This record gives sequence, structure tokens and C-alpha cells, in this order.
Amino acid sequence: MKIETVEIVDINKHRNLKVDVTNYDVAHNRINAAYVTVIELSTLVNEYPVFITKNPRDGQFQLSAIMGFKSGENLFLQNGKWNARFIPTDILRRPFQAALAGEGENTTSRIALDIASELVQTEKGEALFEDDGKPSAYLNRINQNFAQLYAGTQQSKAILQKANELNLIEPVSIDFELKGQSTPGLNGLYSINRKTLGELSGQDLEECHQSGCLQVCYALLSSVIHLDKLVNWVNEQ
Amino acid sequence: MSKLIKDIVIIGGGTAGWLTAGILSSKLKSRVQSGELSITLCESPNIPIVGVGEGTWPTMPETLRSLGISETDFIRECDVSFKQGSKFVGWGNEQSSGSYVHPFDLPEFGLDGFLAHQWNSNLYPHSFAQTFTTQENLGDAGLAPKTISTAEYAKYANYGYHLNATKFSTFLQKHCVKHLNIKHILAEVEDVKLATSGQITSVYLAGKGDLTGDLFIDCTGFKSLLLGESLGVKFKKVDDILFADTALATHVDYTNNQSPIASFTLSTAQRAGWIWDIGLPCRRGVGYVYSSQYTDHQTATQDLHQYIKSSSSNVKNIETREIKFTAGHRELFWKENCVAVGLSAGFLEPLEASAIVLVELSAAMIAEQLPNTHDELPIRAKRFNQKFNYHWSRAIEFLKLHYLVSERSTSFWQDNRAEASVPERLKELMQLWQYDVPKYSDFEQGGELFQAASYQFVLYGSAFRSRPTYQLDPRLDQLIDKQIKDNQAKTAQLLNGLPTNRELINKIMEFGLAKI
Repeated sequence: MKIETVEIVDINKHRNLKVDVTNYDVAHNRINAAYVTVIELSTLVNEYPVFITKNPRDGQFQLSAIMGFKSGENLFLQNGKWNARFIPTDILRRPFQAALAGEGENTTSRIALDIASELVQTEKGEALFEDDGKPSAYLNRINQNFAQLYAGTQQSKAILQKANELNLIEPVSIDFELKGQSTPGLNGLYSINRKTLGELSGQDLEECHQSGCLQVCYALLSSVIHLDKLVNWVNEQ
Repeated sequence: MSKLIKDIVIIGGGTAGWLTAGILSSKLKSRVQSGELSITLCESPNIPIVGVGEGTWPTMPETLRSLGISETDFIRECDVSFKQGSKFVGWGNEQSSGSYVHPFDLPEFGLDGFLAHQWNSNLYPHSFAQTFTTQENLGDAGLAPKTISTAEYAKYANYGYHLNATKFSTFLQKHCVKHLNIKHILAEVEDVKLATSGQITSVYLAGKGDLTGDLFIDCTGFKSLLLGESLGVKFKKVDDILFADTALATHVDYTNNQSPIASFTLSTAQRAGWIWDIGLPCRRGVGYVYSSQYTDHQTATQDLHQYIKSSSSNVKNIETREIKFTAGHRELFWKENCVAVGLSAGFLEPLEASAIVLVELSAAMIAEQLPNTHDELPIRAKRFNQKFNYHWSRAIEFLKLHYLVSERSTSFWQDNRAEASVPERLKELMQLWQYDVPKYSDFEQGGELFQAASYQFVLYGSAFRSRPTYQLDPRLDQLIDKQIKDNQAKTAQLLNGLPTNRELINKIMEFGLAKI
């Protein structure tokens, strides 16, 4: 994606643009992990294996839904459809992205759009603006996505920090047999140490519960089961 | 049974003293915690540390980890950057600015020698270090050996540190006192008291009286107060082998606070020695190590200024500190109930940063060989002396090797190649390496200070080539080719994925490295 094609959403420039929301099989969705936050965790863990990873920019812990076993492999993409009831917010917001306010500009959060995206067109799809120039319901939803991502990121950070303080996070390595062959496992994944979690007591347990950390830990542990589904999808291909 | 060894007394703070205290305490943890053993460190409130040891070996990360130190804290508090080896600039001859690298990564199978054998038998487009390790490229690009997502002490390429030695001592002191049960006394040693047997019974501390102990560790620096002055162990000079006797040290500011931080210790050949250049996050430590037989203070200062200017830094307000030294070591390192660690044991020019690693090795061996009773002292001493005589001799030879393979022409360099100045064992090795390459079997000891691979990097980094008289088993060709290709792929991947030394240090300051 070239940087020049990313433009801040502007009624004057983008009045006629539409976004095709029916097609998921596009470049930006061909990824094997999606960033997720604790806000959406309770629904996502019913369908995705969710692990703790590190943000490559600052090394801090974050949550990621695993969607494939190698770079660029998204097993949820099947015949142009997304085979799940719930989709991570960070996927739904695409092809929009958060825009940082420039110097001297109004600092209210704004969003930008990659106008080179194959989903952006003028014919069919969801319009960005109503005829009267107001943001469309679709654009409002996108704005909500960003608000949710922002709030969720803050909450996730606090909860994962708590989990780390309590020594609940441990690196995991996962090896699979795909199509009868052992493959190089997934790297850089962390999960919750079930034993340490079970042994929490007293004030630690109280804090873990109060902060919401405990629920997140159990949700993460329960989600691992969906790895089997992904392995099956590969083996059925 | 004779008296048990229960009280260990370390005299002298500084890097050697505190590192020794920390290593002993962590290796003897249960005995120190239960109170069976006590470790006391006594340092003078007035004597400043020498504090120019700013480069470590890749042994240091593991040493710090074993002391229970957070790598993030250490990096933040001691002005630390990552060091991936040493780069020797201009050591070939005066005409070219050619250089070679002695990286911290060892080539796989490097010790067996067949990679070096193959490299010498064929024309390869890249240097020996580039062909078999990723690190020459990583270092030249100023990259870090890890990323912000890599856990503390984990790595993609082997590394040691560049650090501020004064801050490091203070940092170790705090950690040792707080977490490792080291008793800390600030006092001047006025007298060392000996028993008729020759053992040290106590040291007399100004205003505090006698401090008794069973085993005394001398970390008093060049002074060698206990082992040298009190027990009369003589200093064995090796200045007929290694000529340098003076260091002119200074600090150089970066152009701005985001200037690149070098990933190697740079060592640039000069008319009568060489200049070190160590990049810390906040400044560079630069110094000229020379022989006063071959140049004078004024010329040396000019040469140092010239170097600093050519590295595009300002030479205004540069203050240099002169440190005089004699290359060599004590004839014994352990006598009676006293062991010397650090500068009190000996000093070699910091060409391969051997000072701190010798402290690490000494402390580790003292812990392993700690006598149970006073009766055992002579046996432990004998073992220690054998081992460290060996280490120091090999270190001296390895440093000498750098000079031997140079073709520089000033008298300092010519005389360095004179046969009379070369140790016998090194002469023999050089003769064998005319046809053979350095191999594991050329060295006697496990835990060798400088291994075969280090000799290969220096020999083949220079213009020296071995001329193998036979072909390797052709079945090895495929293995070697694969290794070269794998190394190329790994290099490309790392060049693409690693941040610069500066970027990573900035991020560690802001976010810290995770423990896992």
C-alpha cells in the first residue's frame, strides 16, 4: 500500500465514494493473525483461537486472533466469504485507518481511507456520505469501530499488564501436523499458564478478578480448541 | 579437620570487585543465604575506579541473568548499547583503509576447521566472517542483535555490551547489597596482617579496626595491595611481546542525540598503536593505546585529535586522561588465602576486551574451587594458577596475532613482527597454519578464552591465507554450500527485520524489554 493513496476522509473529496462491503477476499484480509481487544473477546473466542502476542513496535503484549499457519494464510476466507459469525473489529474497519492529526490541525480523531483499495469505488457498495452531506450510517459504524478499538486497546493493555505482573503469561510453541507433514510451528505466541492461574489466591486472585483479568485468562484458554478447526480446514483443502 | 573457609573478604569495589561479589554469591547461593558463608566487600571511599573497561564479551548477558539482574534496568542505568564484536580498521597496511571483523557469533562447525579449510581452498566473493556469520553485515549496518519484542537476554545474534564502567559498578553494588547478601564496608585499608604461616589473617580498616576473613580477594586494581604488596607476588612483564604502555582516553560527543551507535568496538591502527572507539548511547569513549617507545605524548595527542576529527566530531574542549601501564600479570594469581581478580591480577591492552571476561572466569572458578578448609588452599591455588597462567598466556598470544598478520610499515609495527618478540607456542602455531587452519584440536582446554574460530576470524580477516595441501572429503562440499546459502538467507532476513542499535535503545528506554 502506497502512502500517497491514503487520504483523510473529506466530504468535498469523497462525496461520491462507496465501499464494497460484501467482498472479503482482498489483499488486506489475507493475513494469518488479526489484532483484537478484550472488548470483543467474549464473542471472538467462540470461533477463533486467540493468543497473546507482542506488538512489534513497542514489544508490549496484545491479543491476536489466529487465522492461519503461515504468513498471508487466512483460513476463514472461503470462496470470497468470511466463514465466521463474528469478525474482529480491526478487520471490519478496513479499508479505513486511523489518521493522526497533523500539526496545527484539529486534534479530534479522524479517519483516513486507502482510495487505492479494490473495495473503493463509485458504483456499488455503501456510500460514505448521504446526499445531504451527512456521514452515512456506514461511516458512523466505521467511526464506532475506531472508538471501540481505541477503548479496547487501553483496556487490553491494563489487563495484560496485570496478567504479566502475576506471572500468568508464558511463551507457547505450537507444532502441527498439516497434511501429514510436521510444519514449522507458529512463533511469538504467548498464552496463560493454567497452573499459575489455578494457584492464584488471596489478594492476587481478588485483583485478578476485579480487574477483569481472570475472565480474559479463561476466555483465552478456552479459545485454543479452535486450532483444531483450523488444522482440519487445512487438511481438507 | 582444619578451620573451615567461611568468611570471604573482597577488597576493592569497581567492576572487578562487585562482579566477583555478585558471581560468588549467586553461584554459592544456598550457603550464603543460610549464613554458612559470608561475603564482605570493603572499598575505599576515596579511591576512584579506573573505569575505562567499557566493552564486555558475549558471556556478560548470561552472567547478569544469573545474578538476577533485569536487562532493562541494566541498559537504562548504565548507558548500555549492544556490542556484536570488534572491527579492526587499517590493520592491514597504511595504504588502504581495509578492515576486518571479529564477530561474536561462531560459525556452525567453525571449530572443526573444515569451513576455514574450504574458504582457503577456494575463491569466495565475501570475507570469511561474512560467508559464515550474519554479524559482519549486521554490525556494518549499525543494527541491534534483537528487537523490542525479543525477551530479555534472548537474541537473534550473539552480543555483549558497551557500557559506562563507573555506572556499572554502582549498579552492581546496589544489586549485590540489596539482593545478594553482600556486606558492604566503606573504609580505607591501612594495613594487611599476616600470620607466621604467610596467610592473611585480617585487614586493618581506618576507624573500624580489624576485618578478619578466611579467603581474601584482591580487587584493588593496579596497586595489587594484597597479592602484590603484602604477599610479594611479583609482576611478570610481557612488554617484550605487547609493546603498548600508555592509553590516552577521552569522551567524544555525538553530533546529535540520534546519531547512529556503532555495533562493533572499532579499533583503528595508528603509527604506534591503535585507537579504540566505543559507542555508548550518550557519547563515544575513544582512546589511543600506544607505546611510548615509538611516539611521544604530543604526537599521540595529535593523532588522537586527527582521528576524532576524521570521524566528523568536534575536537574542541577535548580533555584526555593518560593511563600508564605495563602489559603483564602476576606470577601467581592465588597465593596462600589470597586471589587477585581484575587489574590486580594483570593488564593487557584492551584489544579484545579481555579484562572483564577474565573477571567473570576468575570469579566462576573461585566459586567452583572454593576450599572447604584452610588445608585445601594450596591445592585450590595450584589449580587456579595453572588455569589462569594458561588463560593469560593464550590471551597474550591471541593479541600478538593481530600484530603478526599486519603489514604496516612503521617501526612499531615492524618490531612487533620481529621473531624475538613472538612467543614460542604462537610461532609454532603460525608455522602449522601455513597449511592447516586453526582447529579445536589446536587448543588444550575446554572453556578456552579464544577459540579456534576467533583465530580464524583474525587470520583470514587479514591478508594471511593458509594453503591446504589436500581436498576435503567431497561429501562435505554440499554441507558447506548449504551453510553458506542458509547464512545468506538468514542475513537478508535479519537485515530486513532488525532495528538499529539506536532505535532499539530508544525503545528500551521507553517501553523496556519483556522478561519472556
